[in-house]
Amino acid sequence: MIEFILKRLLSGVITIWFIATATFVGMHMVPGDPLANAKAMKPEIRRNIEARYGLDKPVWHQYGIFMGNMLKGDFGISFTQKNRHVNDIIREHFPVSALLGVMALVIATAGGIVWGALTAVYRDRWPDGVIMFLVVIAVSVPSFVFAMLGQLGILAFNDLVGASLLPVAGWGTFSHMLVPALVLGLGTMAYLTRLMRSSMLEVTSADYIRTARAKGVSPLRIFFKHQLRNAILPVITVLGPSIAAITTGGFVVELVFAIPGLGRYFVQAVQQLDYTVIMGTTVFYGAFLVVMVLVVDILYGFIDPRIRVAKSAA
Amino acid sequence: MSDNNIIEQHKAPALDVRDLQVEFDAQGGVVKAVRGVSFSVNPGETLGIVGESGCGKSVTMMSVMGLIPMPPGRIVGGSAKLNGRELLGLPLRELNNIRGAEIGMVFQDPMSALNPTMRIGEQIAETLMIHRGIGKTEALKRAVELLERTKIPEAAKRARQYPFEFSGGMLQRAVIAMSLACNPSVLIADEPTTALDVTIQNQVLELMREIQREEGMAIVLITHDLGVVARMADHVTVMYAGQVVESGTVDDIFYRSAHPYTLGLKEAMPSAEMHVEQKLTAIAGSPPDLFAPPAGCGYCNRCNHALNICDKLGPELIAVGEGHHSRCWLQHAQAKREVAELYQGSKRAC
Repeated sequence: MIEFILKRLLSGVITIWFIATATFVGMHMVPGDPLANAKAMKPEIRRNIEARYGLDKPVWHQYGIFMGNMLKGDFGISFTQKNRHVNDIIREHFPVSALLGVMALVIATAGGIVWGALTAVYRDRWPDGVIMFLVVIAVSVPSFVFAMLGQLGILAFNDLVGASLLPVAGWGTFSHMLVPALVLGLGTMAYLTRLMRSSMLEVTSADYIRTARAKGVSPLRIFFKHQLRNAILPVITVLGPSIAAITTGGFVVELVFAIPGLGRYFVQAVQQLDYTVIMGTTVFYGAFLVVMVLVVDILYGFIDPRIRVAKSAA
Repeated sequence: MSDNNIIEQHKAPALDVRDLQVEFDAQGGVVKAVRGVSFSVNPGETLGIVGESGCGKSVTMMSVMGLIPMPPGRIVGGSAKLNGRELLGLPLRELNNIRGAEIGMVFQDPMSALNPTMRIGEQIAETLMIHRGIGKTEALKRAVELLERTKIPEAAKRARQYPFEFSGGMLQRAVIAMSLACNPSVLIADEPTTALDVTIQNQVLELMREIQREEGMAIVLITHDLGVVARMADHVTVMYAGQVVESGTVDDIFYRSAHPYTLGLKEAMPSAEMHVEQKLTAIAGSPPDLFAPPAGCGYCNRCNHALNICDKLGPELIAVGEGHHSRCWLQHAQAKREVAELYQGSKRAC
């Protein structure tokens, strides 16, 4: 098991290096430069600033400096925000994004499993039809539409209760998080619902379910002890990629709900070609996802004994 | 209860199925999968049910166990009595008290018959916990004993393993251990050895026989392997197109076959004396479409001995000997008489 984790960590490091390099190259291929947005400036001022940020050096030299600093865990200072370290930006704003993401993921997973199991139990009856119809909508409508619908919903809800129970935007309390997390998790929830449904249906006709029925096991116990655990396996496999979907989806939701998460800074940085912030956040997100996928893989081993043994043998 | 009664009960069949009819709704019509099947099996005896794939032998036993999906399945008529108690139409709660406790079931493919995410011991213990109401620790201990009983080495260690860590033969032993956990009076084995290779097959059959000798339970053995039937069964029921075409003792079926289909099955069996170049004999044609069962005998299109009547009217089961029945017009008194007359006529013409 330890060997397995070490192997995965090593391949993770290579992945992150690749992400960093690709982002670096891609960024420098974008026309324009970080100073293009600033007001007209004298050539010598421009040269001064370029020297200060290392932009006067050849690109491969910049790459070397960047990589060296990254190894030390230093992502440099922002180009557009005065005297702000990228590390500080991540430290201050990532926890917000992470909290939102975790909530969204919990909602998506729990919802996906429950709805998926329900549709399988009520297969071809009206609850199945209704849920699957909603699932198609949730998968196909982009999250910014849901984000705005969510805000409208909050307004309507507050009107109905006659008090400002749910804030429309901003950050701070649990009530701030609820609707954004729901919106953020919606697409993933719909996807997991479909997956869970087909997985449940497959398991329902499995031989070992017939064996359990022949043993005289009650339907409820069959559902929880025999079906659910086997049906959840494929759902767990896609949790890793789902985390990616949720974190990237978070950018939009954070913008609409004015949540001070990392996503907002990321989008701003791309618009302003803030090299260091783009690099820092991209590499950070990359590393985060690599770790998350690894965690999911280890988790999978706890649920499926077959994987566990294969891993310890590896 | 008087002594007389106990003796009476002992003589009564453990499982008695009468005129069972099962249908399935399918796209394009209704499949009449089982068309009036009757058989019974006494305690301590083994009944072999043989027939080719799709003849309804598995559906029959699944219906008795209440395991066919309903809908699309439907039990149209008949009865199935376990020790005198009607099983068909029992509410699920009561049926669940019987399944696993009084009837055990062993399935064809042991590789997929066990839950892949549950330890073997737990799966056996589950039966005990449900029916005997004992705690988990106690049930697990009993599970290990059951595994030992089915001759699984290092049973205590094996009980903590998962199905994928077992070989096919070991798994089938575990399934047998599971089905025997509550000492059922009937064990239904649905092609228990089809998925196993011959040496393992032998061991599993031997094990079933041995346990039957000790426990005295009745076994219903569903198979399409006549070799297995010859070895294991006391009585045999041959099924074809959802009906019983011949039934009798194992000697009746093998030495005094009274139905062309049984003869066909016997001829199709490869024998040890065959030459390498010799082709295997097969019964030409295929079984009738059960969407629209034929008015006459289902076998007559493939039968070498078909009479004019066979196409128009299906025969009933005709007694051929003591406890030996055949669903064939050739066994009818009139047919026998006419054949005899024909025979004599041809002799006169000579």
